Amino acid sequence: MTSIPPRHDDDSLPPSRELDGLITRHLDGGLDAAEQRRLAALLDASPAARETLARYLRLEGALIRLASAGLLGSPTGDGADVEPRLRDRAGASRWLRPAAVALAGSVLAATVVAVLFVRQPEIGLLRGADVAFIADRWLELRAADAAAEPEAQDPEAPEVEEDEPDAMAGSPPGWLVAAVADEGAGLSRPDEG
Amino acid sequence: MAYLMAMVRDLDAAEEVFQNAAVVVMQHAGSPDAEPIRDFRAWAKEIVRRQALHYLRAKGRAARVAALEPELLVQIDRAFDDDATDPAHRQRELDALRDCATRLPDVQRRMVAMRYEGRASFDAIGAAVGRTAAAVQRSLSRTRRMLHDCVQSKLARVTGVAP
Repeated sequence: MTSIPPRHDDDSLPPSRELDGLITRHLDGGLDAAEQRRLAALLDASPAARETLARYLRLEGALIRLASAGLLGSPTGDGADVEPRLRDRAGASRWLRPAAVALAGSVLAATVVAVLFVRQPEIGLLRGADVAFIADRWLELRAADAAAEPEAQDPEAPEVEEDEPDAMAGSPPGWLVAAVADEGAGLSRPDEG
Repeated sequence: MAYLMAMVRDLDAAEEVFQNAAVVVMQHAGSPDAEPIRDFRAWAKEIVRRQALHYLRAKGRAARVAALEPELLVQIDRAFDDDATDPAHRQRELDALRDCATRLPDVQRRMVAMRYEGRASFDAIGAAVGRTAAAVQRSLSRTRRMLHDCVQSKLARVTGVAP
């Protein structure tokens, strides 16, 4: 266990607030080397601190997921002011998207099928976090593609409420629906029983 | 993605690394000589980790973020590995976050949306809301804390356990 380096800025902060502040600033790349070492020492010293980091990481993942589905509230009227990052990203990595989605779907579907039906002992159960991992990615890709290609939308499609998540994100592919449904079904590990 | 964000601290970079890692996973899955995978989560995480470290080595100097201190990477790994939160709880957190986000003051909600939906830089957000980039970064940091506390408070009310 390493000794905890002293704070070098605001000594008035209570420990929990200091930890929260370091974590949130870290996620924006705002910590210098000394602050990163301070954060590392706090995390090393306390399981509760690592649980706090895990909560913030889950929060970050959830924010990304909500943003990908357009559920954080678009900045109305500010579109022209914001850097066209989605368009840039679409251009930079467009060649990877179709292959990534198709192959990720194939891998996940094959794994789910293997776990459910083939039950080969050498393949471990796909955990919920893995499904969420890929589901997050799918939602992001859908949102990015929708933003990059608005002309592809059906002009006669009915308008939807802004707070309807499925409508904002589009219909998930069958393999993802099956995987999420299975995730909630309380499956046992294939090597159990 | 959150694990990647903790390592590379940039949404676009995290996406790029994720895509590279996905290609590696797919190449393995498509290989007839591929070894069986016993723990998909651990295996995929290691691929993601290596890709992220490769990214940081290759592009870290040109990136806006500081290099990642090795001891912090170790602690991020520990936190990720120890986190056994079940999917149902993650869903409750997501639902609570969605509600908490709607309760943010308008300017904070706009900044969060611009950052996460529009992938806008601090400079761009600052230009849109009339603040400096540093002020935007501080505000987003505070907003994360507010959302975290709000989510924990909501979950505590549901479960009856103090946050």
